[in-house]
Amino acid sequence: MGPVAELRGVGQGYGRREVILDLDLDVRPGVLGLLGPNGAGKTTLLRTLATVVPPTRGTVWICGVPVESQRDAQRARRHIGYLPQHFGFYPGFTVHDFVRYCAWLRGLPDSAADAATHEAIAFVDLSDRSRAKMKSLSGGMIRRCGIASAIVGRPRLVLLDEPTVGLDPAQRLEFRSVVRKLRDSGTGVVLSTHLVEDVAAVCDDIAVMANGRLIWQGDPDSLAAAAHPTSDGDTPLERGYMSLLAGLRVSA
Amino acid sequence: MRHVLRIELRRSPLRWLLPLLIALDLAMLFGRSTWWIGVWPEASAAAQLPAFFFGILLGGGAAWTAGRVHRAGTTEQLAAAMQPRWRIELPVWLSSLIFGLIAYVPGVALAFIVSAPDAGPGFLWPSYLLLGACLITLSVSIGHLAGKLWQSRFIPPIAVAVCLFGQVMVPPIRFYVLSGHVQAEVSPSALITRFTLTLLLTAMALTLPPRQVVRDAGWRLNTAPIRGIAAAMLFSGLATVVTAGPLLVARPAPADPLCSDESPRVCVWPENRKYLGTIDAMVARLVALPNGVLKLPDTFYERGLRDASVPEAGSDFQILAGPVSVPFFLSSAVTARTVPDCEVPQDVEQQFSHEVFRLDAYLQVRTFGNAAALGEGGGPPGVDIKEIVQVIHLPESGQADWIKDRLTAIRQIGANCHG
Repeated sequence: MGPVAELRGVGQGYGRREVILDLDLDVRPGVLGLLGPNGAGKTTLLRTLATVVPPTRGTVWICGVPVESQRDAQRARRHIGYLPQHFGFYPGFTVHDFVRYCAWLRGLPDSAADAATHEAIAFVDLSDRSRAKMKSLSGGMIRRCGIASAIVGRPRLVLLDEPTVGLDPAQRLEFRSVVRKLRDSGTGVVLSTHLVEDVAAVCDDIAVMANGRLIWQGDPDSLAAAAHPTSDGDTPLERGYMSLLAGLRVSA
Repeated sequence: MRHVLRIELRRSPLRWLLPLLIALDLAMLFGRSTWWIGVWPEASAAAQLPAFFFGILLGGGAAWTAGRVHRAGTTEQLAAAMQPRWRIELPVWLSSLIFGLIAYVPGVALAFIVSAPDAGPGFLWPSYLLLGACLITLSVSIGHLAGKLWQSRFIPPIAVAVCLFGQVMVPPIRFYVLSGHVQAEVSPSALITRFTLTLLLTAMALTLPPRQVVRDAGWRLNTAPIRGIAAAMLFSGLATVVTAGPLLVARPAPADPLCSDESPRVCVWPENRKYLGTIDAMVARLVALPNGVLKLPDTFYERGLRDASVPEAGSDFQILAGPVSVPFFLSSAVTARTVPDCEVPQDVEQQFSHEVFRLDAYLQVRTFGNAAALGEGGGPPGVDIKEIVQVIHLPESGQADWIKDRLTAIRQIGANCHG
């Protein structure tokens, strides 16, 4: 199956500050874990993939269509589900109202939006709370509701930016099961995170970013195999990741 | 979009404000006065005016509603939406507008219900009702725009209050009228320019991106021209409203005014039909004085029925805030005909004017039937109002003698009196 998103020679910056440099990346069905230290450019990459900001250089393709104008971007957004790092919600809305609202934002017609809303809420196991107000939900439920809002209408590309921040261990396990279900449904998921164990649990592919560049890409086993015996970390994957960053510091 | 609009209506904070808006609407309608009841243009203007008062509150609510994007932090999600900006804003704006119109309708309906029995065939005047609806729309759009532009919780409602209350200070850009006297009507061009300005502000409220989005730039790399164009258009719109002229303009006199069958006749504008009997009774009290001591015109006209160039048109009566103003005009018209035209030496000028005042005040009390015609004010120094009021308790012949005494005194004080 072909990539749901492609980036070729993409650069991104704010003013004179370059945040992403000459980046090539394919996002295929499955879960791509995006790892990197703070300031690596992960959030900017997700915002670029979400077409919120246009690249300053290079081209982004979504579902095989190049995104070169705002009109292209708006068409592409039909296929993109995006859960930003700072996920906002309206506390007075019920779960159903909020997801239904997001279905409308995605451009789903009224005839399809209700069914898609129920499906998305069921997907994240919130059907029994669909009439509850957002302000009454726990942090984990709000995150699940956020995922429901991102996947409503079955977008082909789902972008999750630091979705497990602030969740307790049980909530993180729930979250992982939702992402696995997404993976099994054939959706292309990009999961940006600091937490290597989340990546280990759900990702098929890993991309490591640092200083705006893609410094490594491969499967979790390859990253674990790249671990240096003296590197910091409690698991092979963590040691592999830390080895990459340490190598970067040495070369710098 | 209907489904989303229903969600917005169910979740809007304005739903909690609605009872207050309705209460304010009815309080401003019936709490200020009730003399407008039974006269279609006056009732229409009265139904329109509360929109100014609750519009300020409504605008604040609209600002709060539009500002939820900042408070909830959903700008990023909205920036990633497939729907264009204006379509995202539209249901939010529309829900605020619907709450405003819902608050407006009870006042309009009640103004119609209480007026219909006395006002005769007809209906509230649409131009006034449209003016009120225009002001409600303007309030919502200003509120929506302010809520988007300022992230603060408090600045937008304050900005809305300043904008809407500010029109009190600048009459040429007012979106309301205080009363709807029958001689006037809402100028179509003034109404159209106000609607145009409102539409312009609405378009800005729906399409201008929030500040957060402007900072992020996104695909809209250069927003400065958009804002510059918006400001220029707004300025042009305001200038057009100012140059469109006054909001109320004179109506042409009706071809068939409503006149009584008595002599002297009383003629009023057809819309003031409910006052014809009352004013006729006032005139009848003057006629009832024996011996023809007063000189009455053949017909008492309401202001505006006769061309202003007619010499006596200046003393035609006006119905201002009900019939209480009429005795003043009637007595002035009668005094002008009855009091002889004299040359008054400077040293007795005050004495002369006191006598004329006494006669005029008596006529007002006589016409109205009680001292309420004189209001709260007293007379000039040296004139005892109570004594004048007591005159109407004398027998009719005694009152006629009192008038004759006043006229005799006037002739004695003045010189070379005629008539």
